[in-house]
Amino acid sequence: MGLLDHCKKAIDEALRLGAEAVDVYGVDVEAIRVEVRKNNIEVSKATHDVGLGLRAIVRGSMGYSYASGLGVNMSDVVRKAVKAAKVGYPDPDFKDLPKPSSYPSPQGTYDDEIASLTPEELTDLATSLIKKVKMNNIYSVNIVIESSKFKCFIVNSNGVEGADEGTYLSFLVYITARDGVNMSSSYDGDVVRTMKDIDMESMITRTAQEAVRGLKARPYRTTKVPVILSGKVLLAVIVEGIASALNADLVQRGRSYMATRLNEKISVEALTIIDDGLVNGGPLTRRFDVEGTPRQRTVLIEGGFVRSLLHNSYTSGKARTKSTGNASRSGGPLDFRGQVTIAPSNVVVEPGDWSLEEMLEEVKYGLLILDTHDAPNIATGELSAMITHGYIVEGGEVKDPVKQTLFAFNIIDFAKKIKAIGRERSKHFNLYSPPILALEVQVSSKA
Amino acid sequence: MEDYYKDLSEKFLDMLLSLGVNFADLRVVELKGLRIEVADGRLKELRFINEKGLAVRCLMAGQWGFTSTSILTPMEVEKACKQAYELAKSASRRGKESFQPSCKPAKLSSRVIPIIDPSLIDVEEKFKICNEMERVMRGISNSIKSTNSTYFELEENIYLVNSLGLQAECSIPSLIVSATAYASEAGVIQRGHDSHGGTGGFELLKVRNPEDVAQKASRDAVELLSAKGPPAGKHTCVLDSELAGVFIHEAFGHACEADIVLHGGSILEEMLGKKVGSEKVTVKDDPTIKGLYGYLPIDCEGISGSGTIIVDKGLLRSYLHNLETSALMGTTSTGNARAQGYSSTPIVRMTNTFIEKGDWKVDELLQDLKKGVYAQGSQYGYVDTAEGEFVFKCVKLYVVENGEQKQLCRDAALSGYTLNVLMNVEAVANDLSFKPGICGKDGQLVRVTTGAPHVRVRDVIIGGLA
Repeated sequence: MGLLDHCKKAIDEALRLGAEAVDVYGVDVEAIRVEVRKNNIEVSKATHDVGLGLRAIVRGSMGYSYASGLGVNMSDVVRKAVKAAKVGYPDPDFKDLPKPSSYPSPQGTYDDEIASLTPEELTDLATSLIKKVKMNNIYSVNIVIESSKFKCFIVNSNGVEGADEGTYLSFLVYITARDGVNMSSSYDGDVVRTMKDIDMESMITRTAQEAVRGLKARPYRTTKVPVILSGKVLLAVIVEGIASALNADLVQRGRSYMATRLNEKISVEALTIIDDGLVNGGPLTRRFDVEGTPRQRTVLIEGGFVRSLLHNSYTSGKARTKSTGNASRSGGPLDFRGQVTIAPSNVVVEPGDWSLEEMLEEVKYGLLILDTHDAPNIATGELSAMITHGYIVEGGEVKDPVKQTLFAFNIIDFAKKIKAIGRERSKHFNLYSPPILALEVQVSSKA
Repeated sequence: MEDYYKDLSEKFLDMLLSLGVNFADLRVVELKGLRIEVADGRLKELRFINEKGLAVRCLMAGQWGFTSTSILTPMEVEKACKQAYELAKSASRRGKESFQPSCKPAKLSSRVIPIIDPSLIDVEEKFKICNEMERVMRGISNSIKSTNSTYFELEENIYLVNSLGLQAECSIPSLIVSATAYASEAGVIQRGHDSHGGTGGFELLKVRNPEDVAQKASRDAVELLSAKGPPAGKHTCVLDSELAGVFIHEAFGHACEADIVLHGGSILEEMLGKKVGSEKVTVKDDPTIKGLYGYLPIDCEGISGSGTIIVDKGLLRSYLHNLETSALMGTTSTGNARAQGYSSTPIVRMTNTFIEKGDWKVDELLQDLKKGVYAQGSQYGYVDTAEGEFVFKCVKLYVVENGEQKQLCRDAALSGYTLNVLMNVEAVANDLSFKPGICGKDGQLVRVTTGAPHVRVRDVIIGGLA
C-alpha cells in the first residue's frame, strides 16, 4: 500500500471514530549540508526526515497527532488525534476544511542541479568560496550551505488531494575581522529555489568587505533623523511588522495593532504591499498551503489602505470569507509536527521612483540602516531595535559604519512618515522590496 | 529505550569501527509528549508528540560526517552509517588540524522519576489547567480582551554508544505551563506573559501553581496600558532577576561557548584568567541542579557534567565544552554538548546558567539610585558574540528618581557591550532566582534555565520612542 492510500485509510478510520473532518499532511525532506567554521570544513551532514501529521476535528475542536518515520502505526496516530479533539469544547467558529480545487503550477521551484548536488560537490563549492576571501584583517570565515529537496502532500476528508515538490539552497556567511584593537563582524544569507538565483561569490566578497569596513564603526548620537531602510532590516518592518500583523487570527483575537484597521489608511499613498504565494522561484512559493488551499496573490496594503488580512480555513470560516492560502505550521511549511497557523508567503513591496542617490541626497544627515536582529511588538506596533548593519549619512554621502546605536518607531507613525520609496527592488529571504526613506526616526546612542 | 534500538546501535557502531573511523557515536532519541494550547477559552491545539530517530557521527582526520534518519530499519540505519562514514572520509581529504576526542569508557544511566507521573493523569485534567489559567487571566480586569494558555509535557529518552566504550542512557521528563494576556483600552493593546516549569512531573505545579502564572501575565498586561515610551539615552539601570538572568545568558554565556571561541566569533577568545567583569560578578553553568528546566545529567555525547564556574569574582575561569572543543583546547568536556532531537549535531550549549548572589538587599539597590531606571522581565535578547554588542528587551521599565519608582515605560531595548557592562556592575543583590526558557543557536532550540539576583549596572543604553 502506498503512502497516500495509507493516509486515506487513516482518514476513514478517524471518521469512523467520530471525527467530522480530518486532514493528513505528509512531508519527506532530504538535505545535505556543509559547515565551514573558521575557514575549514568542519561538518558534512545528510539528513532524511519523513513524517505525517494528522488533524481530527470534532464539533470544531481540533486534535493533532503526528509520527515520524515510515513504519508508522497509523491507528495509534488516529486514535490519539480523535481523542485530543474530543477533549476540547465545541467551537462553532470552525466551519470546514478546504474543498477540492485546482492547483496552480508556479515556476522556478524545482532545480535539477540542486536536487542532484552531492556532499562532495557542496564541499568543493564551500572550499572555492573560502578562497575568494583574501583581505587583510579578516579573522574568520564561517559558511553554511545546505541543499534540500522535498515532497509534501495533503489529503483531507472533503476529498482534497494535493502533491508538491521542490528544492532549496540556503546559504549563510558570517565573517569576523580584527585589527588589533577593534573587532567587527558581518553576515549575509539567502534562501533560493534554483542555483541561478544566487550569487554566493558576490555575497561572500561583499560580506568580507563589510566586516573590514565595520572596524571603523562609530556610535551615532541620541536624536531624531531621516533614515533609509534597505535590505534585511525591512524583513523586520515589512514582513514581521506589517504582513505578520495582518494575520487574521491575531486580528480576530485583538492581539495585533492592526486589529481595527482593515480598510483604514495607515500609510502614505506610495506604499503597496502584496503577499504573493506564486512568485517565480519564491522561497515560500507552493502549489497549496499546508491545508490544501491554493496559494494566491493577496493585496495587503494598497495606496496606503489596509485591503486584506492573511487567512487560513479556520479564520476565513469565522470571518465568512475565503482563505488566502496562508495556512502554515508552527515550524514552517515543511513541518508536519506543529499546529496549523497563519504566515505570510513571499512579501512584495511595489517600487517607487527614487534612486538610492536621490534618497541619500534627500536625507543629507541621517542613517542608512541595513539590518537588525530585532522584531517589532505586534500587539503595540512598536519597534525598538539595534542597528546590526548600517551607515552614517553625511552631506548626502554614505560615510562610516555605525555601531552601538538603536532606532525606534511605531510602525503606523513610520508608515505615515515615509518620504520616498526606491525604484530598485532586492530580494532578502521571502521579501522583495526597494529601499524606503522615512523622516524623523528616533535613534539613541552613547551621547 | 527498547533493546531493539540498543542492539541496532551497537551493531552498526561495530561496523563503523571496522571501517577505520577515528571516532564514532550513534544516538537514538525518542520524544513523547503532549502540548495543549487554549486561546480565548477554546482549545486551539491538543497535540500528542511521538517521534523517534537516530543520529550517526563519524570523525576522520578532524572532519565530521553526520547523518540522521527517522526510518529505523536495519537497512536504513546501515545506509545512514555508511553515508556518515563517506561524508567524513570525503571531508577528511581537505585536511585540517586533527583531534581525538577522549572520554572514559563507562556505562552511565540516569532516569528522572517524576514524583507525580504526568502519564497517569488524564488529558482532561491537563486541559482543565489551561482553562483555569484562562479564567484567572480574564478575572483580573475587564480590559483583558484575549488570552492564551499552554501546557507542555515532554519525555526525552536518549541512548548513546560511542567508539571509546561509552554507553549512556538518559530519561528526562519536563513540564512547563505558560500564560499570555492581552489587555486593550482606547486602541492601546498590551501583552503580559509568564511561564513556570522544570524537569520532573506534576509536582512542579505545586511549587508554583498555574493560577499564579496566569495572574502575573494578566497584571503585567493591564499595568502596561498606562505605560509610556522609554527615555532614550544612557542610564544607570537596576535589572530584576529575570532580566539579569537573560542578560548573563545572552550577553555573556554564548561568548563562553568554546565552539564559538574556536570559530573566532567570541570576544572572550584568549581571555582565560583575565578580568572580564567587576569582582562582584561570579557566573556558573550547572547542569546538575535537579528540577530546573536546564537539568542535564548526561549530555548528548554521553558526558556527565559537574558544573562549571565560568567567571569567578570577575575573572574568566572556563569556557563551556563538548568533546571536540575540549580536545582542541587540551581540556575535558564540561558536559555541555546538546542537540535538538535526532536530526541535529551536538554543539556547545548552556544548561542552567546564573549569576551567583551577592550581599545587597534588593531595596538597597533601588534606594541608593539617585537617577536611573529599573528594568523588569524579559521579552527576548541577542548578542553579537564577536563584537560583544548586545540588546535585550525588557517587559517593564520604571524611571527611578531618588530611589523612588516613577513613570512606567514599555518596549524598552537595553543595549551595550558585554565586557563594559560586566565591568560596570556596581552591586549584586542576594535574591537569586531562576526562570525556565528556550535558547536558540544555529537553528536548534533547547530547554535552559537562566538565573540571577537583582543587579545594578552603570551606563546602559536604552533605546525608545521618547
